[in-house]
Amino acid sequence: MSASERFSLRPSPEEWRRDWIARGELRDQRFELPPGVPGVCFDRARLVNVDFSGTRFADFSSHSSEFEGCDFTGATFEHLSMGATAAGGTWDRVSWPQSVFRDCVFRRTRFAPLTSFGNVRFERCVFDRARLRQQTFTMQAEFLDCVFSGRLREINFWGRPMDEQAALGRERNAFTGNDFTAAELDDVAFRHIDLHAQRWPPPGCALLDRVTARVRAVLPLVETWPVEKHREKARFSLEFLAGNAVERNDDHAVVSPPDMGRRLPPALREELFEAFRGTSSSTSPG
Amino acid sequence: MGALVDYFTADSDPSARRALSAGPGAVDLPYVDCKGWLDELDTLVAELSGRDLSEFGDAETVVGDDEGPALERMASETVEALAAVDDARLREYAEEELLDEFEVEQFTALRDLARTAIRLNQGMYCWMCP
Repeated sequence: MSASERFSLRPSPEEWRRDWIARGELRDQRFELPPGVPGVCFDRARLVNVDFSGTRFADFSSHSSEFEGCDFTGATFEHLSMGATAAGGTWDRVSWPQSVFRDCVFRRTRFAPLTSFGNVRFERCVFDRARLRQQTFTMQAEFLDCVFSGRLREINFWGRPMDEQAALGRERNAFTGNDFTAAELDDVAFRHIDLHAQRWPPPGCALLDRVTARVRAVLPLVETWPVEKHREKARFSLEFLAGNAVERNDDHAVVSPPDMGRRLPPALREELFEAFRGTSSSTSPG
Repeated sequence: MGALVDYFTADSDPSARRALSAGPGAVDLPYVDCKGWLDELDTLVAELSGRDLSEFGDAETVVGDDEGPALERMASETVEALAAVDDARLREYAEEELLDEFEVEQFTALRDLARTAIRLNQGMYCWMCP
């Protein structure tokens, strides 16, 4: 995109498309969709200090675009592709340009479940009590120095792209400096991500090393519990935890009492978590 | 495609089994289609009621294996706690979780289904079809 290109928002040349195409540069103003237009595709656009707050987008996609200092507070994305392969037509599979969101705010922003994040990079963005759940298509997304607060539920973050590395031009996704100290993690996986390169822990959690050894160390405690159902649930959860830690994070994990078994009585969960945390030196206080 | 998941009410396990092959809608049992937006009912009920998940009993398998459709009967504590959720709490939860109108309608329908089960002294079941 040329920095001097004037901003334009026009209907797509593909007649079947409902969303309009935005190109060029827009600065220091509010973004408004024309009446009756449900969505927008930003194609090689640059948006600086643009206010998207409170807007409901039936479709929002971005291809090779930059968003800097933009405010998405209270926005709703019903269908979302933040780093689309192409703005229209058929993707050539040769290159997949990245879209970048830098210093943007997503406060109580509603991301659609199963959003395709695509090839996108978030730098110093704030995700404040945004609805981030069931975001499993994040395989090419990069996050640097972002701040997450509120509940994150059923999300996978990926340190390696699952496929299309050649088109992406990289074999690793950048994922460093992210602050999770005010986040509530519920079924969140960090796959092949350096956990020590983030800010931890969220309340009640601990970043722990030697997960497999800890599991072995606490199993005798589990076997002293009188109720077989509780022993069974704990064993299952511990095996799951150890398996994931070895496979994804070099035997490290961010652990909280629910990881000991969400269906265990709270007293047992806490007892087991304390034993688990205390079996060896944790690398971050819980 | 994802698994089909319907919650429904029936007066007995044999009645519920009629839904096994084609789902509760096919045999005119009242149901709520939960495909794609609800994984575990008791987790939702724990959040809505503010109770710990361990307070709810496990769902009982009525029919099921790993390959075909399956039926589970929800624990009575789960159904009672869901039925007790009032509209104000549903609205509060919708605000907390940034639910959209469709989701609020679905959660309300599910709560009302639990109330129907309690009122008619029936069971609440989950039909799953992979």
